[in-house]
Amino acid sequence: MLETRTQDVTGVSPAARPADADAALQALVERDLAPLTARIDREGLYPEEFLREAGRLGAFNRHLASQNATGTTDIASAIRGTEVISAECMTTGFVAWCQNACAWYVENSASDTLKREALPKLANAEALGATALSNPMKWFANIEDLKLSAERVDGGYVVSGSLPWVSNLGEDHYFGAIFRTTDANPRPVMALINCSDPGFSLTACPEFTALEGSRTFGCHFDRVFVPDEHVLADSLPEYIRRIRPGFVLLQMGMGLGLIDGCIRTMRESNETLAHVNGYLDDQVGELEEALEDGRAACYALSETPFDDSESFFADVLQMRLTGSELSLRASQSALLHCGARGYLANAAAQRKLRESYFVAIVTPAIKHLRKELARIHAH
Amino acid sequence: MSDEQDDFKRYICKVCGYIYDEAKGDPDSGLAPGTRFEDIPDDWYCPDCNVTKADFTALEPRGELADAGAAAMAWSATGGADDPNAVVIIGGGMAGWALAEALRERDPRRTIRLLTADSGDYYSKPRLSNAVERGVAVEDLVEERGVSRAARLGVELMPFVRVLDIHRAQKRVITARGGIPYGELVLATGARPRRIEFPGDAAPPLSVNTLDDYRLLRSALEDRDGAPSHTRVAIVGAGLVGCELADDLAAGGYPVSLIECASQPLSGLLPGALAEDLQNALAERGVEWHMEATVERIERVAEGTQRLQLATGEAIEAEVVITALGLVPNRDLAERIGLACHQGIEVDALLRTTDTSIYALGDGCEFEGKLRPYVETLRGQAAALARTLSGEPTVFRPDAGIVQVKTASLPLNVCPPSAAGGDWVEIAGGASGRHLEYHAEGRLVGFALSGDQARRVRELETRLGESAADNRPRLAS
Repeated sequence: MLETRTQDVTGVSPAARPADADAALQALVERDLAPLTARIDREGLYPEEFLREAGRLGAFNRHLASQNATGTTDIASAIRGTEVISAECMTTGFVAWCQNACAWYVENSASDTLKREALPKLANAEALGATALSNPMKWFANIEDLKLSAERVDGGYVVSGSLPWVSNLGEDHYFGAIFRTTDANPRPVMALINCSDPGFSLTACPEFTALEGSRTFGCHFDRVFVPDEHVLADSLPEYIRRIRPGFVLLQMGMGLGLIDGCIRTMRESNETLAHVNGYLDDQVGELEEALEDGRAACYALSETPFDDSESFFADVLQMRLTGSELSLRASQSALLHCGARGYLANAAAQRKLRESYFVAIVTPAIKHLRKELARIHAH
Repeated sequence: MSDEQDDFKRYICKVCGYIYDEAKGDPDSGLAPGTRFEDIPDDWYCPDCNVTKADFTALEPRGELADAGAAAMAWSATGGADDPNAVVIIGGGMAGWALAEALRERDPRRTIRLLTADSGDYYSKPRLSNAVERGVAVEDLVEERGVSRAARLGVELMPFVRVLDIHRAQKRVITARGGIPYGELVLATGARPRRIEFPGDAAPPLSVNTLDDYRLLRSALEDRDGAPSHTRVAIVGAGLVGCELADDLAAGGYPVSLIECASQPLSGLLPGALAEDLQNALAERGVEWHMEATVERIERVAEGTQRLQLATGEAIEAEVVITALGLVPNRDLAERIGLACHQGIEVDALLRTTDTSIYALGDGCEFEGKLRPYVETLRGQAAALARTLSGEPTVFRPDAGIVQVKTASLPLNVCPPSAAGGDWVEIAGGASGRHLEYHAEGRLVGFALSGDQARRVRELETRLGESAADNRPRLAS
């Protein structure tokens, strides 16, 4: 039997904002980001100045009802912001999502201290933030164990363990982490950590094939004290149910932007090669239609970010899967459209190909999504 | 690599998944091939993530392969599904499938795509309320798997898909699996049970409208220890579903309380004499009736037991609480895209909505100002709509609207009067069944049959509209 989604709208439909809301961000991307894209990708240049400036323009507060001018949880607008950035440089789009996710954790937490001290700075990128939830998300899906553990001490927890690679980190950056307590009532607890906390250290990772400018590090906790005021959630299951649709939906800006960027690359190539590109499988028109469908679905899902039902989350996961699959199709077609020119080391097409694989493997990866959907839809 | 021969072992970094293989060593860090794990110095670091030896553990291959091949296919995008002339049906209940089947019979080639939020498995909804007495297991209610039915009918089934939006100008259905183009779209979105939130701390009551709902009910009934007599059931609402379920569960040995705010079951449908018979028949099965009673609160009183506080002051305890308060058409999607809706989705004589490319049938649609949530109606609508969609515009002619009440202890067939101002006349009556007719202006315009008279339904149906001045002896009036 068919269910349609509930109509209690807590978000804002795309029509509620002027279509050119992203014009200022788009201009900033063209002026400040585009000249750096190749170096960000391969040389590990971190787009810090761009992030700070985008934050000042309000690119990272759109989903934060407590921090934006409209007082709404406008996930669709946040997705569009990340999309505008990702269409040019997905490394930067990825760290923009990290920033959005970190603030999303605090916005939905019970910590008044963090809402007062950290959230306003995260919302305008005066402080930078990351999400270290890859391991816990895989733990929830029964894919791996939790890697951090914590002892209860007076006034907080002492956390130990290591996480292999966490992005958008720096000396004084924040990130959300989940650890398992070792007290009489062992349970997962989530807290906001600052990289300057005593006992915490970062180590360089081996070189990745793309996204080198995402400031991705190994994280080591050697008895890091986390005060109770920095705990985001102690009753974790309810908190996770609240934040998870937004967490995954916000990622959609990466895939949608990447696809949009691939279509632009294909268009440019068609200016001279349309007579032969017509023989390829995925044409500009088809991908544009699929991109529009994907945007429409994302925006519809964004209307109810706090729907905590399993059937809604299944739709969100399915959307994320569709986005990954379409990203792979689009980047492959972009490279095939460009031919050898797209294969040059400084070409956008080959970079977008590598970026698209990141969309498909960053948690939740395609295999993770299919495993979860199979579980949800099994009787 | 030959573990057996050389007895080399492998160790995995718990943090990043790097594997240290004793056979290969880590020459970049100065560990020659063949270096045993225990001989690695303590200041050695994982080459990928910099943790120390202490974070390594002996590798136990986790080789079991998930049986996920088929599942993985089902979640992938719609690849190639882009026939802009397709008939797309939203809803995989009886109405959606009936239309798919009727349309395929008339048109062997048209692309038919059926989207459903569940698995698409085919089952007969009326059977959900009489499966306990007949000892039918939940899985045996599935008459045909969705994928098999789709293959047999040549229908492209998209299971576990919910429609998020419809772009009417582009004629595209928006889902999380991508956009789906349509030539003509059919809303077979059905209806959902009316729900009331009762004050109190009990979990929300169950309701039975789909196979998935029914699965929950059966596990609530059967997962408890002991005989059915230890699982008390309270049903709120003595309409069609409430009466059928009460009868079926009582026959299965469950103590059933049936609570109804009106003064008789199936009020508005059954003439008084038949309502009384039905009440007696169910009471004989052991159903405890609570008439003219409303539920004020439902509290949790013990593990697994709830107490329903009635406005009359009475309280009923039950392990399983079901509400059966009627149906509400699913019109949210139609309203979202601006189609005219009243109680249901409004359709014209061709079952067209206010968008000429979008049709509706079944429990969700409203035809001539009426909801007709009956199987016979959806079959008639499917037949007419299949003709229309295959190029032969065909007006839907509503059936008489005969309501079949499948209470095994007293089966009923009721044809609600199509005109007012007449009287119910008892043509035959006795302990084993009654035959009542409704006569208005000298014509037969309705009837109600029970027990052994119920099987005369087709004969009575053919006589509808005829002169009622027959020569049968009137036994009572």
